[in-house]
Amino acid sequence: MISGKWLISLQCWFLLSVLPVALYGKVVLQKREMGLENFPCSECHDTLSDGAIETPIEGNHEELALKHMKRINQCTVCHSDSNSDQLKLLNGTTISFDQSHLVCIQCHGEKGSDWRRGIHGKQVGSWKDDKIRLLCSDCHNAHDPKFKQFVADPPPVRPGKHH
Amino acid sequence: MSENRTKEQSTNRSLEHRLSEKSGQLLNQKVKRRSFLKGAVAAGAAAVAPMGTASAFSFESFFQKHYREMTPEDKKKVFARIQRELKKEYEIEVSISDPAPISGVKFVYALNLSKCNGSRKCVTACQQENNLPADMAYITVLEMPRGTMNVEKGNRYYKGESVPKEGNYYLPVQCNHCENSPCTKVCPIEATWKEKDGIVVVDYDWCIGCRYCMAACPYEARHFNFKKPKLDASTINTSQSYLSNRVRSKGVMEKCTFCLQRTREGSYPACLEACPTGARKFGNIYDPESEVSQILKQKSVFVLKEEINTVPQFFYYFD
Repeated sequence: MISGKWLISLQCWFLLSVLPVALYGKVVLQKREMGLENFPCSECHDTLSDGAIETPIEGNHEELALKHMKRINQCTVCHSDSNSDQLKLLNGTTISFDQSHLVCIQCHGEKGSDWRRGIHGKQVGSWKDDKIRLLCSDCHNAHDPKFKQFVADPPPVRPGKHH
Repeated sequence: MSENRTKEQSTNRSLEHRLSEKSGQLLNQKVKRRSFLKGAVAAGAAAVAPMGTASAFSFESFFQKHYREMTPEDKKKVFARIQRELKKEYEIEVSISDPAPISGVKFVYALNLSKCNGSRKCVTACQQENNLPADMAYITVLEMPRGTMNVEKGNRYYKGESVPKEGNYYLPVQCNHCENSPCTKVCPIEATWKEKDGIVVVDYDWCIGCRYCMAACPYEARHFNFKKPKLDASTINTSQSYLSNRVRSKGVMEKCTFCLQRTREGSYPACLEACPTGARKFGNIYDPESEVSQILKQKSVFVLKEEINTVPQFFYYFD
């Protein structure tokens, strides 16, 4: 038989465990799968070849530059070879494009743990309710991840020089 | 000559005589209460009339209460007046909101200097959100040589066809929303104060434009409207708030308010949403899972001009 005192403490414990979630909302990962909806890779590629490739590739993927790491020059390091609409982890597991971050954090573990805490990367939506967390490849081009230089917006007007 | 002079003197004397006679009559006359009141009302109306015609200084705003003394009815009237004035001047329909601080929330900002690339996207987004003219910005991005930390040597006028430039890092500075804020202490009329959620705000209708706060702020975060802000009516943000982004008039101070019209409704500030690198982080410091709480736990953060004990709520870090 559970005494009344125990019951109250159990209720408190339950409330405490639920409250933070209820107060602060949750984190939603940005979906990427629908980006493939109109142009699925499987439209052209039944399978992906295992061999090394040279970029730029002539034809439909002219803009594709493979500047990720020196020795990574095979599509199938990250892309699934059997199903071209999916990605692949190093242990062979196939995953969807919605979980593309799992591919990245295999090597970039430290950034990955920062990203999971919301420190690295960008979160939009609401600080109070549901946060939308962008995936790695929303900001970085997975084939050429280094950030390019930007054109800065105009500088402030110097005092006395009104236009 | 002498004849003329004596004539002049005599006319002067007669004028004085007449004046004293007339005033004597008036002074001895018994003034009725009603006629006195009539005269007083007429004089009062004459004194106020020129103010009524000037848009920035209306009769209503002159007798308006301090924001913190307004009742909900007072606020309703004031917001209606602001809407009316903007409709007249810019021909736009605006909504004036007044979101209250959320209890159990304190806002903190964190900025990753390793990620900021000086693209000034935050500056532009801030100007659009907060109805700022092109020659004013709440955020100043300083271009700093790598390995230095002297903000006074930073270049704010850098032109950027391609940023980040080699050998530089970029330090955006805006209102630090200090816990021990010098700007609110020096205000002689309490037109600026710190709200419960940590945001330092200005009542633009109460501000007299003495610029003491501008001098007191060590971060150059306060900006003064030396002239009427030049705004394009078609680009004015029509969802405005009394304490933050409503259109300001000439002669008042203004500053970053952490976009309280957005953040108190749950959104992120405009500068954070515009940042292309994800360097900006904003949230509730009382929420242990928020980005800012995690950053304060995980990273070694610093504040600007720590030694002057302003206790800023805007943290910087490298990673």
